[in-house]
Amino acid sequence: MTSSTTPPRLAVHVGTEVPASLATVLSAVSAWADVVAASVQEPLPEGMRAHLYTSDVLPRRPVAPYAVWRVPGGKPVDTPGVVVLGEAGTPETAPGELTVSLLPWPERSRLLLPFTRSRYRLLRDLPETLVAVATPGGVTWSSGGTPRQAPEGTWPTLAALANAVVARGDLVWDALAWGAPTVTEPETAQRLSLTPDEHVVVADDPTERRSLSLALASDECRAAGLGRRGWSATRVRRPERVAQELCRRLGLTPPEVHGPSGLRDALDALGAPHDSLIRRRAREAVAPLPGAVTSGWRPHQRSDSDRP
Amino acid sequence: MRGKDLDIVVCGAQKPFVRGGAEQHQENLVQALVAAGHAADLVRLPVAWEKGRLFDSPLAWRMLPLDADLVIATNFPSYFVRHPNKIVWLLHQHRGAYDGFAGGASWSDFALDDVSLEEQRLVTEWDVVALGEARHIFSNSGVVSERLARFNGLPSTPLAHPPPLYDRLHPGPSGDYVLSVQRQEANKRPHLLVEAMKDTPSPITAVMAGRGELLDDLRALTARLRLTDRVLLPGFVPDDELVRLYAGALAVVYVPEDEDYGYATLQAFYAGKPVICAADSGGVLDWVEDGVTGLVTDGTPGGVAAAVRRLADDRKLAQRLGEAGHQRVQSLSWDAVVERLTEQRPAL
Repeated sequence: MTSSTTPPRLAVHVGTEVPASLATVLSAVSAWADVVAASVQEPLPEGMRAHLYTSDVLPRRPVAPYAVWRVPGGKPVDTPGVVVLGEAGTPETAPGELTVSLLPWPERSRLLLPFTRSRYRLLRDLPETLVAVATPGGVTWSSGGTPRQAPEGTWPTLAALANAVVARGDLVWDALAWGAPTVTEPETAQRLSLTPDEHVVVADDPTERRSLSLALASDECRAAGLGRRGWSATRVRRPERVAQELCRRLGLTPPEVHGPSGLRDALDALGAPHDSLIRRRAREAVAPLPGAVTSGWRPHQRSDSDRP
Repeated sequence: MRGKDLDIVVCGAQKPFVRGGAEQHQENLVQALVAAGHAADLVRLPVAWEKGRLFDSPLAWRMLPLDADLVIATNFPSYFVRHPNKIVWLLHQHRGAYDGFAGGASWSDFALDDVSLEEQRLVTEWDVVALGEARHIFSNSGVVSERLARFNGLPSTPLAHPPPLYDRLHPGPSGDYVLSVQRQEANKRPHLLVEAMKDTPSPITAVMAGRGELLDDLRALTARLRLTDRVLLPGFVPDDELVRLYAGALAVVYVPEDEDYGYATLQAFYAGKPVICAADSGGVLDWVEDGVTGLVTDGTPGGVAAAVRRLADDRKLAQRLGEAGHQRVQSLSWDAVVERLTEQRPAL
């Protein structure tokens, strides 16, 4: 019997190896639920709220509710309503799956959509039209004319402020983390499980990619939609987000916590930077309330980044 | 939930002591939901628009425990409310951070400095997250949808609705006055009509109904221009009187800057009157087509005066435009609005 304060338990049924991306997700799941290893050779542990199977060990009659981690080359999972997870870039990825990426999230990245970018360019006295092209050989920028070499280390700045960027490989991930309207090659889109014209614009030819980026730079509405969707797609692929969504869909809700940490959680969910004004205002607002200051925000803490 | 009928909370933000179209909209929505058999209630919280305080109210909405089958959020920052079945019917976002900033409006306190831009960036990100949680986003006009697409990259569906008094307004014989019904605020540009009256011949007069922070300034301007006998600024006008004024007007003048929706336009059409607006009046242009349902001016006093003169000189034209406007609003109904807002949608 479980008490109302015991975290829900998730039984995990895996084959011989636990894929690294699944291990990372399970590590993040522990914030909401206890992860318990299970095996067909042993009796099912008691008190399980839900189950997660890798597709190579999925039994004919899985115990519901359950989710399936799709192993490349494993059995196809096409049961309606079942939560399916997998690693980004694997060929069998299907729409609606929870997709995980282990690419590092640029820590300082923030969502900047085209209007905000245009204001920053104005403030910084940058060209009205600014397109950045990242290649293995370096980064160039142009405002429609001859491309110029960008100084080393300026790629994040360009990804944050350009009207549009052209990139390949993992640099696309960086660009999308900043909400940049992005043009790339088909191989990169496939490797990162990005949908052409929804998350990125795709073209085979480098000249065409430059041309598409200029077209994107002059279409603020299209660029905003692309940047927003690309940013959302990368954000939901971070392991902790996948873990959170997996728990939500499996009904692994944690014990109800009533307390002042809700305010901090709300700020976290909205992506408020740790040093933002609203964090300071929220701290000030709850500081006089008994119990509030000890819930992650202690009086000596200057910012949330200091919190334990 | 009781069968087909739902427990619905309508969420709205309000600046205390200020009442305008948004507040009427929210109250009329609640009435329409109740009339359709649902249990509906209105929840409001104060809002502050200034930089530095603008994130406080969104955070408060974030923390509200709302037990209902459906919540319908209407304006900034009420759509920050959290609920698994959230629909947004967007009247407006934080306009000072978006279109007001983009257009350099005097009523926006956002400027080209780092603090402004970080706050603008953050409100954009928060809006993307909070609005993105909704099962569907409706807007009250094409211009609001365009702003949402441009500033936040979010799709939405325009959903028009009847204005207050729609069931009482009626056409009547045209008199010798033009009517303006609005809050006397900067973004409504009431001075345009006052100044236009300098170049409008007698016996045409202007009746400018509505209160607002510019009312005293307008009265002073009217006195300075020696127009007190030709421009009437009665302040608040009761509904019965408003219906009578609409019915007897030659035309309705409504020249706001980039309006979201604008009830005056639709009320004019219900009363069978043409509308004189400006080319930059925003959502008003969803309804006013130049030479079809009204006259679109260049937004100068001279342009407004010319339009008033044209209708005064050609009463048949005024009548024809007014009748076309009347036809345009016949398809609007609260029943249709309620059906769209409450239709079942698949879980996200």
